[in-house]
Amino acid sequence: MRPAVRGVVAAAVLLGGAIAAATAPGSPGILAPFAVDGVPGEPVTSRQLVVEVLEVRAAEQVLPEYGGDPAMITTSGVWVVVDCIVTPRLGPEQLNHVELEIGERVFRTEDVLPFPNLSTLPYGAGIPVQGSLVFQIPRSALTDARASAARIVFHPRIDTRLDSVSVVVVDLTDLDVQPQADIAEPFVPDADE
Amino acid sequence: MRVLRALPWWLWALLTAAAAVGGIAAIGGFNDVPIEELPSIAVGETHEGNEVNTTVTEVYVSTTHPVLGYELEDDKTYLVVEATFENTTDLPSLFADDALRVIVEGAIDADADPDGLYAPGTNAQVTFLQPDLPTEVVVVWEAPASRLDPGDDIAIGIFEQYRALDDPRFEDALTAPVPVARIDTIIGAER
Repeated sequence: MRPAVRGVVAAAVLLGGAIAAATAPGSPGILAPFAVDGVPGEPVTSRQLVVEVLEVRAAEQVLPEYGGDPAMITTSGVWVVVDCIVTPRLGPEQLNHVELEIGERVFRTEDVLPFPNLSTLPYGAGIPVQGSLVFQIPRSALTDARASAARIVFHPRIDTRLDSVSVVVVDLTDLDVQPQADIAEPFVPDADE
Repeated sequence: MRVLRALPWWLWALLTAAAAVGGIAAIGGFNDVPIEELPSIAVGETHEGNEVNTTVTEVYVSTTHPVLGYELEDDKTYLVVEATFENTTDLPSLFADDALRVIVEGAIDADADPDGLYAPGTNAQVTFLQPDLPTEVVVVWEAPASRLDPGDDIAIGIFEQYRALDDPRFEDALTAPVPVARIDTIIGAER
């Protein structure tokens, strides 16, 4: 092979490698979870959870109606309260890492409610628990245009790579912010409900 | 020139390495950044960090836990630093635990982790900060009561952390927290 041809081949190989490296997806793109999208009022089933969002509320303070001597829980922003029924499919689970996505911003559910709360699904596979998750967000996030398609991402573990997750898409822009939202103790709903 | 040409290659390598090390050392590259040279801010002033904005608002001692209300034994007290943290990123930040450290001569060392970080609004531990939400926090250290008094000097270090771009394992690895600003004040100071 002539030197000039060898040079052209080497340059082409290097260029091809550079293009491949520059356009290859990063780990988040390769390992992203598979979202199963749904809307409030319908069950959304992923590998580990069945989720039904009943109602989404917004309030300046939340008051647990249980737990001995309940105290008002305040925020410098606003509380988004997600009332839902969650059924684990594999066994007892935890919901500490449920996220509320508004555009690029990701908020995580707060573990501020007295025990028992919906951060734990203690009864095992197939037994639903009805309760509330709370998110603390800046008030301005409610009027963000992207809040009209906010995504509540349910998954029981912090590592969601290549797993499926239940996602409920909600419109937060038309929520009235109430002075107070009462939070009931989680319970196992009747099968007929 | 003939002498230079006669030098073996490994001696050239050694000389080059020595020159590089000497050059870097001469401009201070191998020195730790002395804490005295950190920019100094005042109580009530906001340090705009790369992940968390920090405003220290009050420093005091108390034998009663400022959030949970527990009373300490007679020979112990809480050093309490009240601050406002604001996570300026788009994701929940876990950096709150590392954002502040204090030095009180003879009582609390710079490497003493806080005994807790609480939000008065929720009466709960702060384990992460939501994006764009200013959060009042109360950071507490337990210390011997005899060594902490109102009026004592205290240095508060404010920290940041950075992406560790050369980490071979994780794309999102972070460096250890490093001090980036300090507050020299006294116990009892408030905004």
